[in-house]
Formats: sequence, C-alpha cells, structure tokens
Amino acid sequence: MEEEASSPGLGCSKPHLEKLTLGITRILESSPGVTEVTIIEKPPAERHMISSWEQKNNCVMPEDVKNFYLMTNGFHMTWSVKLDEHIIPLGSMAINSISKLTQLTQSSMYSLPNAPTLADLEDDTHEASDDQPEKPHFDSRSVIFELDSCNGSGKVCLVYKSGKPALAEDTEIWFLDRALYWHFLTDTFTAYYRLLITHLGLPQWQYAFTSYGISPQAKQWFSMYKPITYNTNLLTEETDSFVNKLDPSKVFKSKNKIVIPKKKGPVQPAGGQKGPSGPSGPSTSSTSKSSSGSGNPTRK
Amino acid sequence: MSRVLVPCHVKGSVALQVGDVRTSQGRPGVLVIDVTFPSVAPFELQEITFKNYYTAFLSIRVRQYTSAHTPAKWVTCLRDYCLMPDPHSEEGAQEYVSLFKHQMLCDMARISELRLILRQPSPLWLSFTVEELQIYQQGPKSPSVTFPKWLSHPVPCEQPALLREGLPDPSRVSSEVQQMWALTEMIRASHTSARIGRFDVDGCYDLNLLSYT
Repeated sequence: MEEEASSPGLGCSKPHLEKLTLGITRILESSPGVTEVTIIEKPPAERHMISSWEQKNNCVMPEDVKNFYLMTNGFHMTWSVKLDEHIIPLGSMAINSISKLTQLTQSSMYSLPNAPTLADLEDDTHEASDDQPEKPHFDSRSVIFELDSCNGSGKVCLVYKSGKPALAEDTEIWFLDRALYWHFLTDTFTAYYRLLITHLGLPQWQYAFTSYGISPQAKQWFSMYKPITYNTNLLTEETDSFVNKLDPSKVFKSKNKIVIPKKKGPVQPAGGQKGPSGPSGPSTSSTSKSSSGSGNPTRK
Repeated sequence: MSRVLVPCHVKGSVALQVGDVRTSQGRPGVLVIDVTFPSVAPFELQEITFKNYYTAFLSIRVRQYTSAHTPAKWVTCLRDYCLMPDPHSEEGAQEYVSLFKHQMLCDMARISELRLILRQPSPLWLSFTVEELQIYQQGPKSPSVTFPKWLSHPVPCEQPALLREGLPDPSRVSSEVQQMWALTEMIRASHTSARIGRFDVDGCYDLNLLSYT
C-alpha cells in the first residue's frame, strides 16, 4: 500500500485500474469485435470533499461509497463494437463524481397552481404492499441522489429511506426508470458496483431488474456478450429454448435431374404440351413435376 | 346503455421529470394531460374513450366535490392501467380503449376536472400520447344508440407509399444483419476463460483497506 502511494508512476496505474474494474478490461479486450476499451481515470477524492458533501446534504455517506470515492472520484468506462467498417459505442459504466452526486427533486419548470406534480404519481393508499420493499418517495420521506444517468434511459439512485438527517444504514440502491417507476437493485453500493461490472455496462442492463425486462435490441447484445454471472430467469429460460440452426448445405441443396434414356421419347411431347402453362409458376420445377406426372399414365 | 358526450377542453401535455432538466439527456417518460369542463356543471362520469399511441400505463385522477361545503379534492380513480402488455413491443400500442364507471376505484360523481397520467418506461419510443379523447356521462334512457365517432366515420385507408418513407434502406439493413451474424459466429468460436477479479489487497477483502490516506 505505501509503495503504491509513494510511487504513483504510469506503470503502477494499470494494475490499480485492473483491480478497480475486477479485471473486466481483460475480458472485454479478449472478446471478439470489442474495441476502444477506455477508462477515464480520475484522481481520488479528498476527505474534506466527502465531509462537505455530508454537511451540505445532511446525510452520512455509507462506508463503501466513501471508500470508493477515496479511491477514485467517479468512474467512467466505455467500450465499442467494430462491425466491419463502423465502430458502434456500446458499453458504458458510469458512477457520478461527488460534485455530481446531487439530490433529485422535481424539475421546477411549472410553478402554476394546480399544476401536475410528482405527488400525482404516488398515493398514500398504495402503502399496503407488505412483501415488496417500500419504494422511495419523491417528497421529504426519502432522500435520493443520482449515481448514474444511464444515458437517458433512467437513473440509478442512492436512496436514503428515512428523511433528513439521513443515516448510512438506511441506504439502498434503486433504479428509477423513464416513467418514474422504482425498481429495487441492491442493498449496498458494493453489490451494485459488482452488478455494474458483471453486466459489462451493456445498454439498458438495469431493465433486467424490472417487470418488463430488457428491450429486444438490448437482448440482442446481451445474447452476444452475455454477462458472466446472470441470475435472472429471463435469459435462463431463453438459453433452454430450442435454437434453430441453419444448415446451408441442406437449404441450398442442388437438384440432380435423373436422365432416363428410355423415357426421353414420351417425355418430350408431354413437356411440349404443357409449355404454355409453364410461365404461371417456376418453369424448371413445373417442367420436372409435369414430366413425372405424365410418366404414370404412360405406365398404366 | 345510452350516454351523452360532455364538452371538454383537453390541455397540452405536461412532462414530469426529476433532476436537472437542462443536463438531463433522456426523453420524459411521464406525461400529464389535464381535462377541464368549462361549460358543464359537476357531473357523473360514465365512460372515457380514447385512441392509444404507445402509452404503456395510464393513471387517472379526478377532482371531485365530496359535499357542497368542502372544496374539491383530487382522488385517484385508476392506477397503472396496463395498455401495452409489453412496453418494449407494439401490442396494444395503437388500440382504441374504453374505460367505464365500474372499472374505477372511486365514485365518479360530481366530477369537475380530470387528470390523465401517461407513463411509458421503455426508452425505445420517441413519443407517446392518447388521441381522440372523449368523456361521456349518463344520457336519457332512449332506445336510439349513436355510434361513436370513429365507427361512424371510418378512417380512409392510408396509402402504402407513406410507409416506405419511414423505413430504412433494405440493403443497408441486410448488410448490418450479415455483420451481426459474422460477429455472433466469432463470439461462438472463442471462449474466454478469464475470471473477474476481486478487491484483493494482501489477501484481505475489507474495503476499508482500499482507502489511501
């Protein structure tokens, strides 16, 4: 530890990032088609930045979140896929820095009386669900901070379940989708960080923890770069399902025409008779079928 | 049953978002449409009809007078009604929907205002709304049945030429599908044996040791 701190050379930063990302960069770089694996390296946060954040927001930061920021102030890793000539940016793993760890409140664009508010989205009569964990609220009952904006597909939030002053043990990680529905992710930041890494930052991976699942487009990428540990029943059922395998040799099988010299005589006038009806269908197949059909009456 | 169309004013949709809208890069997934009845006294709602356009879930709140002396308050009469079984696919995306009084969670008497909350969690769709919104109340009991507007006046058939404009280039799509197939074959051929590492410093998995002081 002290040696690493005393000599922060360029050679030491690589194993540091290797440990930070749990070796996921090596897995990505060895995957076919993956290119431009980039980690935006950020310096560790100062202790006073964490103290300032806690005082400003009147919340105690959980220990694992605190230790993460003392390692690196925020995290951003992207990777792309090379499809012949195009490079498509695909994976993105991001955790906001402390300065961007802002509290989520309603956008106050509409200050008119009787205007729609976030209170319209929740009702007090909906508190009857006992088996499900209680969902966060947009009012003072919960304190919500944005960890990741998920490229506009939703928000991963650090949620303090009780109001201010908020304690560290009340935190949970939830996913707020585009329609402002809440979906539980993990109890701790450490577990969420491992989920983030193991899902490789594939697009819309958080939707795997919702009732509607991931979109067909995202499912395509999931099937190609399937996350290493995947416990969801969604893809488990898919792997068990039968996959059609295309056999090119059977599909494009060439037809061998059997030439029988004895039947050449009667076949020719029969083919000539059905010549005008040929253009209605495929000419080659209809010719061969008509020849075989006319063979039977000849035998009788 | 007979019904009478209630004249109403449908306001523009208002997007609900959290966080800083200026830095937010996503499209809103919650739209609120308010419906007022300026020329009608508080009435008992009988039916609501509309044509869906990619709305996945619908909630409806009504502003209701409970008694003559207390002011009107907002009550939720429909909560997360499912319009699209799978928000990521097209089923139910453009269907005609009728909601009746018996489907509501609360009494539908003395309605003065309506608030429709449209929600679409899937990031696939660019926009979503409801169209041809009509509100009905109980009409006089007469044997004559009037057909709804969209049934009386069938929509003229859309020209197939319009569909071609929105479609991508077929040769480009075919080329991209082939590239995806080739990439799938490459991935199938190679198997990565690398494993995800751990936060392992001197054999200890305690995260506290990772804080450099």
